[in-house]
Amino acid sequence: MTDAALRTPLYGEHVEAGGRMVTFAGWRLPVRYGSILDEARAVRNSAGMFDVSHMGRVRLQGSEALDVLLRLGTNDLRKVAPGRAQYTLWCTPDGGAIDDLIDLWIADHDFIVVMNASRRDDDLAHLEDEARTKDATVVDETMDTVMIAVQGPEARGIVSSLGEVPELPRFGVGRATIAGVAAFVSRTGYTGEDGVELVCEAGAGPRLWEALREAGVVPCGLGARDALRMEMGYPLYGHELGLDISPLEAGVAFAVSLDDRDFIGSDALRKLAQDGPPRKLMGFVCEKPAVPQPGDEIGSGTVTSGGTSVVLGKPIGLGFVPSDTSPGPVSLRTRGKEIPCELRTLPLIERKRPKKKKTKT
Amino acid sequence: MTDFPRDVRYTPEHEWARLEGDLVRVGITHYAQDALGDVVYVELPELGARVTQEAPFGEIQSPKAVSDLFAPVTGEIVERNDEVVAAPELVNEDPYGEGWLVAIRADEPAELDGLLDARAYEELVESLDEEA
Repeated sequence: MTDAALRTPLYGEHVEAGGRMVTFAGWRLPVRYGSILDEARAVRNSAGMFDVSHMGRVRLQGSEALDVLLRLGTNDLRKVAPGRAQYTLWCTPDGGAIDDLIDLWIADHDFIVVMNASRRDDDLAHLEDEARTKDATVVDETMDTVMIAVQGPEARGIVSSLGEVPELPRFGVGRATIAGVAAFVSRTGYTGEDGVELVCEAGAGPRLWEALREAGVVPCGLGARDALRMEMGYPLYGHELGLDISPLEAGVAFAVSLDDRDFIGSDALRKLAQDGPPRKLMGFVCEKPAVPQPGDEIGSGTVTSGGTSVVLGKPIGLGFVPSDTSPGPVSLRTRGKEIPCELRTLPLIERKRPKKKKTKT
Repeated sequence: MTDFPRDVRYTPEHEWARLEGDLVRVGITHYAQDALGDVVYVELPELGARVTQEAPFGEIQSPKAVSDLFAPVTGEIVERNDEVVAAPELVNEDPYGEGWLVAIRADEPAELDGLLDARAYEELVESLDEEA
């Protein structure tokens, strides 16, 4: 994997806007356009958008599509209904995480499964394995579509002002026309802010992106996305989730529904739930300047992600610690130094929904 | 802003050094601050500290990375920019001016002649951009 990095249909927009392009999970994407901190603040205070077209989007259709997803997912899709999205995980029989995903239930027998770019090949094989014996058709639509996450307290208002957008509850899914572009819209995201994620045809992606930008939505890169999800304690596959990490350890037990159901990995997860997992995910806030790196020691645990919180104005991170660990002061050992930190439960910030206010220009 | 001012010399690690009388003022280049992104923390040596050419004398941090600062010349720290410690974004805003870091009294000011001039440094940066 060297020069063969893929480009999203919005690549030209990113380069033109001065996006600093990096290769992430095999895709060329902007890590930032200007300041990561300014971009993260835009999402917390007004509205920002991310090109998340690199994420896998796989259409699953058929009379047994729901059964396929129930067999694969740790979460119980029967708790929701068409017109809703659900966060879920796929596990191995051992209970390790293959991926964390969002199922968009767009119509009775019609789903879009949104997956991590780094896991798309494995996820597709896993999905096809399960769909083979059932009435369910798998079509990978990743390359034919664009996905834009519009996030922030003003995000939904701006999106609605650009066309016909249904009023959606949290995790609702519908169809919209925005700036003349037909799109699926879901009230989902990865930032902790209100907002929507839009999926449209690849060719229309640039028009949608430009319309949002002209309406004041700030383009944001992977750096801001990472910082925002870290504040919320959301896991990132490869850091807080993996084949050797259980969802029950990674702070996403809410998406593991073990009552009266069997899915791939349910036996192992049931046993782990009974025994109690040996470690758990916590967050920490550094009291002195530092850049926590994965692999650093935090108390008697290990750092999985590090960054800077724009809300707290301090370095933060996530890490696995023994299950009996309580919040409180600990040391981060990084670059041969000891940095005083406070270990905290997640999320690291209160999810704030600031009132709409006029910004000075 | 001039990305490659001609009145300074450059290290291959992206520090600049400007001879001012018998002092050598030091900072990081426009290219370096742009590559780092938001500078959130700068750690500088105390006044009177000895620094050695090509050896680390401090640290600079962005949200995702820590980088060592390398001394362009051997000598003694005689000034440090406490304003930049308090407001690290000065490094991004004005890397060759308000964002300077330290001034060194060089043992051998002639060491500066061994550093890159603007043209050579610009070529180095261009070669890095091509690799990226």
